[in-house]
Amino acid sequence: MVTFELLDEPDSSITEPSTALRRQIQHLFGRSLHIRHVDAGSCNGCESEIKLLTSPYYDIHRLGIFFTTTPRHADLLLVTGAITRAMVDPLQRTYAAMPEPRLVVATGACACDGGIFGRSCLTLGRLSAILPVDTYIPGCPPTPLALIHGLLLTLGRAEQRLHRQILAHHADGKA
Amino acid sequence: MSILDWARQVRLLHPNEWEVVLTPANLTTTVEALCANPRNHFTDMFGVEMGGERQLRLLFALDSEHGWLHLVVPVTGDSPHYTSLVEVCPATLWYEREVAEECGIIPSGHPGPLHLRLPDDWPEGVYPHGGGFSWQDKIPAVAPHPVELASAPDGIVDYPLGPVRSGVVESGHYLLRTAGEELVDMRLQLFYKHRGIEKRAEGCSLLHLPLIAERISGTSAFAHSLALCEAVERAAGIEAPPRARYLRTLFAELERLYNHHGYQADLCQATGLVVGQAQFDVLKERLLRLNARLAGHRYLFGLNVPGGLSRDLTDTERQVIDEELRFQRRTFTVLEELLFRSNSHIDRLERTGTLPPELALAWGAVGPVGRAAGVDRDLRRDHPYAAYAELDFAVPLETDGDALARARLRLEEVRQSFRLIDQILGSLPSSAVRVPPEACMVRPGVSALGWVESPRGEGVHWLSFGEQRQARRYRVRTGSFANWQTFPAAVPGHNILTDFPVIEQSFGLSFAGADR
Amino acid sequence: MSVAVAAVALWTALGLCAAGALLCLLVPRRRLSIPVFVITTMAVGVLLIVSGAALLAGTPLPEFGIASPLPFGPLIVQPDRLGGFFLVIIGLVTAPIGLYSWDYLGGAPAFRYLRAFTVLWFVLLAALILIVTAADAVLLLMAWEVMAYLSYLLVTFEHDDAEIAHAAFLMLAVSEIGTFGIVAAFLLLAQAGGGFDFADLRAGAAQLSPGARDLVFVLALGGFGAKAGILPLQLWLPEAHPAAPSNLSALLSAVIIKLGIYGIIRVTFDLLGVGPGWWGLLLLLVGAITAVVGILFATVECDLKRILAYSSIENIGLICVGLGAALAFRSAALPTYAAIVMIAALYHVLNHATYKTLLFLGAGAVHRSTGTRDLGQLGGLVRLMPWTTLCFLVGALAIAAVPPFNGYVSEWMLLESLLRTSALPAVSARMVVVAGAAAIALTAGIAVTAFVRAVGTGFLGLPRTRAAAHATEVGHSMRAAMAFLAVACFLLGTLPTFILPVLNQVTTPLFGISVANAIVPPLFSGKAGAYQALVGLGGTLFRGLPVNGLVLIASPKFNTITAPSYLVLAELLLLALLLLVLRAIRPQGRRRRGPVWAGGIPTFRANMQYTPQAYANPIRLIFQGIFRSRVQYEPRELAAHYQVGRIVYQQTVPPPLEPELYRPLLGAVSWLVGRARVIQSGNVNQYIAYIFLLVLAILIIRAL
Repeated sequence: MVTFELLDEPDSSITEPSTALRRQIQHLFGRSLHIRHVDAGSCNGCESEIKLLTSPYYDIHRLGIFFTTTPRHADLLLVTGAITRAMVDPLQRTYAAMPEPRLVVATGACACDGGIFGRSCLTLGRLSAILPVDTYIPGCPPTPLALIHGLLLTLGRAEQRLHRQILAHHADGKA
Repeated sequence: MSILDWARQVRLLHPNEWEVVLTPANLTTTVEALCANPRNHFTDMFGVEMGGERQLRLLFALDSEHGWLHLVVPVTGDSPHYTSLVEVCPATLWYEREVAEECGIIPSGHPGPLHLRLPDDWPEGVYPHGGGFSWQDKIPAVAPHPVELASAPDGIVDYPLGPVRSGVVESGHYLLRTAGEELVDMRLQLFYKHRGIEKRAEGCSLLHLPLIAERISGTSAFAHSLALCEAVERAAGIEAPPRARYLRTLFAELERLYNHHGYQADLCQATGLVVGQAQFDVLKERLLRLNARLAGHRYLFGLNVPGGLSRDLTDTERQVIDEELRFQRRTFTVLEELLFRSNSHIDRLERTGTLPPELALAWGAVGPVGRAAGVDRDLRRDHPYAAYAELDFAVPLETDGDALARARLRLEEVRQSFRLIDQILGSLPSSAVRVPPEACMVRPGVSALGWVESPRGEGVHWLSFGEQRQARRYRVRTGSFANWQTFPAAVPGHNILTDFPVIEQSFGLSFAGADR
Repeated sequence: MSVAVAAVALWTALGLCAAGALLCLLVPRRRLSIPVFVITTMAVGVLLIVSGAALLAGTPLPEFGIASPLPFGPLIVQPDRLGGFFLVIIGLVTAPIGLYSWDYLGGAPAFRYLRAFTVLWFVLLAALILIVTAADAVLLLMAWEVMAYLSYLLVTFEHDDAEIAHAAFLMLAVSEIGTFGIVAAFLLLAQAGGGFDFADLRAGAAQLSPGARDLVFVLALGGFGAKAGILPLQLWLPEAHPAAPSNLSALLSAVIIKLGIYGIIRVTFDLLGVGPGWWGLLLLLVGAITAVVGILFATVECDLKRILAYSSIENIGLICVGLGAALAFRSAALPTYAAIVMIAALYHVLNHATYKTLLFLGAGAVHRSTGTRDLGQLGGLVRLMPWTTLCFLVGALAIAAVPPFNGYVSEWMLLESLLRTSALPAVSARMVVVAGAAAIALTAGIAVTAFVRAVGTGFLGLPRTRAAAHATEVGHSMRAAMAFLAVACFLLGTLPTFILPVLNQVTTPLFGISVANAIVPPLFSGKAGAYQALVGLGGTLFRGLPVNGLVLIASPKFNTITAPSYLVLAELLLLALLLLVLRAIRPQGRRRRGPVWAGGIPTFRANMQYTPQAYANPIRLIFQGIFRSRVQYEPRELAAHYQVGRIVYQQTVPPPLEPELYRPLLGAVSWLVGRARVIQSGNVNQYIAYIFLLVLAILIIRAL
């Protein structure tokens, strides 16, 4: 049984990995990363954007990043949503089912800090209350490019910029 | 209307919005009489707490002439009861459970368990809409008490799917029961994502409400904020300017387009048609980028405000839409033809996940799911809102009720959306796009209804205001909620385990919208 | 020397049976009677193995006549090599059963009629011995009937259940119908030959007209086939065998149905002499159908012992295919092929006896420990009963023809020798034999499915019920008996080059040709002869190896080889290599054990595992034409909405041929019996009149 407890401060047992360890993890996952996504109470906006990562415009596979069905094969946990009460237990089980080392990314305003829901009687309000978060990708919802940037940042590959032109096009809205 | 003979009080609240006050004793006969007429449709049922007094409210959609009918049943006592309506109106099944756990009004003789939407560790007797606490209050957890499912017969495998399941999908749990190949039974456990949107809206000001409505279902953000803004405008007794009404229609149809493209992409993914998935994803992405260009947000967040829109459309932007539409129409026509030539795709859809028309009607299927099973209803036509009354479009209808019918229906709806957008671009009236905020002022204590035909079906929003003009009770019934209730009827019998992803995608429902 | 050993061991075994029966009758206490039972049974088993082995090595024993008051001359006991082979099988089965019974008979739930069980057991054993050693039809028939009635009694003893009583009665009824056929066949032969001992019967067969010999063949096939469980006379088998206590089930399935095979061999190969080609093809076809139907029903059945019973039907079918092919080859004057395929069939008899005993004892251990035989209620036994699981697994691998266990060798030989059909002159005959080969291949494939299912759902995963979750490992004697048989399965599977020449001893007198050098050629001793080319291919590598490691099925066009003895070495090497590789690529670091991943739900429950029915579902649907299963399904459309509503789903698979053949037949018999009741008036005077009329009729017939 998992008890439900709103934490005012991050759990002290949740520790941040050291810089050296982080380097090592980044080296490990540098060229092949498998993501398990968990929706912990999003509005489906984030899912819509994440799904588009594999579409022809973004094609995240070319970066060596894949989505996997089971957490047993996953290196990174991508969490969206305001962490609803009913999803706390499944989310923790998913994290526990992942092999180490593992990364956690909070995606979207809700997972980062609760968005408009915040801490309420039905939502925990932020992922960091129950899991050690490596990267926050803000946005409501974060666009596919923001997601790619966030993931590359997590892997220490942020300098591997996307094609300048795509970014430029996106900025001024030309398709 | 003879059915109103029992009524103690009949009121016209707003144009096309009637209210009848009943006692619990004559509720059943009234509902029975309403359901006897096939032109009336049960739409919503919820509980309200107002100043210590609780009400059971039912909403019926009447014909185009009469609009909407609220049945209001004031109840008293610590654990108020009424006779369950499931016998006379099966579609009330989930609604009654919701009222029971969120407002404490108990349906006697309800055939199923009452626990529905609140998490398993939620304490008994704490009613989110029964008054007594605010959304920020901490409700302590108790030992989880999940709904006990009936066990399966010998030899049947309970195949659990979710809440964390394959792919990038929303969270929900299916218990599929199979004898090896064919699905013989399915139990549905939704509401993992219940965020308490309605509770969250309590006490919010007019400006904040659209933000909340947009997040009911991010991919129907514009539809929901539209319904909410229309409700506010009805409550304030104003109407959005003509240009705003046309632009709202335009954006609503753009939203429908990208959703229907996304739907076909997901369906292609379910049948393994990767090329189709990629192509429809391209169409969807282009529309999202168009949205970003027009509204500053890919999902049209922040566009609707009470009294109109937050920004206007320039002539250049109109040109851009026109160009994009031409591309979309051309590509879509080719893709549709290719889709119907892909036997591997069509064969998986044909006679898969059939929702029998009589069940669809009885269980209250709405939107594309209902229309694919012969439920001829579309709020854009039957209860026009925004600018739909002034535009010409057809409502497609299919009667097979299988996955292919649902997919075909959405393809046809895409064509109708193209038509609508063309008309709007050709006849866009010139006026302001927003009434001044000070003109959009609701009277204290007023309540009003807003509705919308979202890409996934009818969304109905009911809003009641408190003394400080803040939202006192916000009720949302999404199309997905209504359709999820019919979903289990389409799964067992004649489908095999590997059909399930196809059935799920062919319904194209949103968990977020249903869970709220 | 060997003659003396064989005779002494045989008679001592028979004497021990008598002594055991007497002791068990007299010993009053349970605690004493069980050791007496166990020790005597094991001693009889060992003696039978010794006697049989001596017989196989040497010449037939001299005839031993027993004076008889009956007007058929003395009863003759004279075991030959064929009888010796079956003596070995009886011994090989009874010795571990005796050991197993120490804990099985002593444990709970206690046998209510232990004394009767033990006494009748020894009488049954004596009857079995006499059946295979009799050289005279009257003794054989007497022992045969004793066996039939005692099996019936032993099956029904412990039960008050009407259904089991019915099953046992069915077994007896079919057996008696079979006896009718056997008696008729022997009478036809004896009438022509003028006596009842086997020499007379052989002489009689030579004088019979071809039509009469055909009739004898069909009668004997039906008569002995009824006991063996060939289609369409199999209905009783899956009912009666599971009903018996497991030590008896093992004896029933491993030995008693094999005596049907013994009978078929004795009459068709020994007594009748060479017959027309269609005999063999008929037997082959019946065997092929029996094998396929048997294994199919084993695949969908959920009762562990019924699975084994159906698989016994399958194996009897395979043996009959071999015998049929041997008959066909013999009729076509191809004694070499006939002998080879006969050896394969006999090897399969031996193998089936070992692994089926093992499996029945394993099923008995499971039943004893959990109280259920329903696969749908088992699961997770691998952790609770590791020894039983391991032994059962060995049995399952053996029966599924997976090397290095014994089923592989005999099924491979059967299949390969059937592929030598091109030697047969008639095209139609070739086609039938090829169809038989195809049936064997299909059977072998489905057998793997059936036993993966039995082990997978019964022993692996999570326990499905409280009973399975509280299972404990069975006692030492039961484990030791199973382990003995598991080792036997391994040795029979890895050392066929030692076994095959012995089996050749059995077939040599039947076909007048020895094929030992053809099957197990002395490739490595430098006398390769015709196989010199083969040796050149790589055999030189093995030159000087002490054993003839290869089993070879030769034909003018192509040779096929298997080397089970080296195969096991190769398997061990591969296994070691695999472990090394796994060790090398094993990820470094800390290991964490976690619960089963089930999509984030709190617990993975036992009913989320694949059920035996679900596992068999594809087979059930593909072969629906054979199964004719019915599904009762009430989806209760609203059940899913209410979440608490129940659905109804039930599959029913009727036993093979039950609705088509047995039910109408039973109806017809009932109708006839109802009509015949008119002559039963209950009036004594009337019965005296019947006797008078009968005597009159006999007198008239004698006078004519």
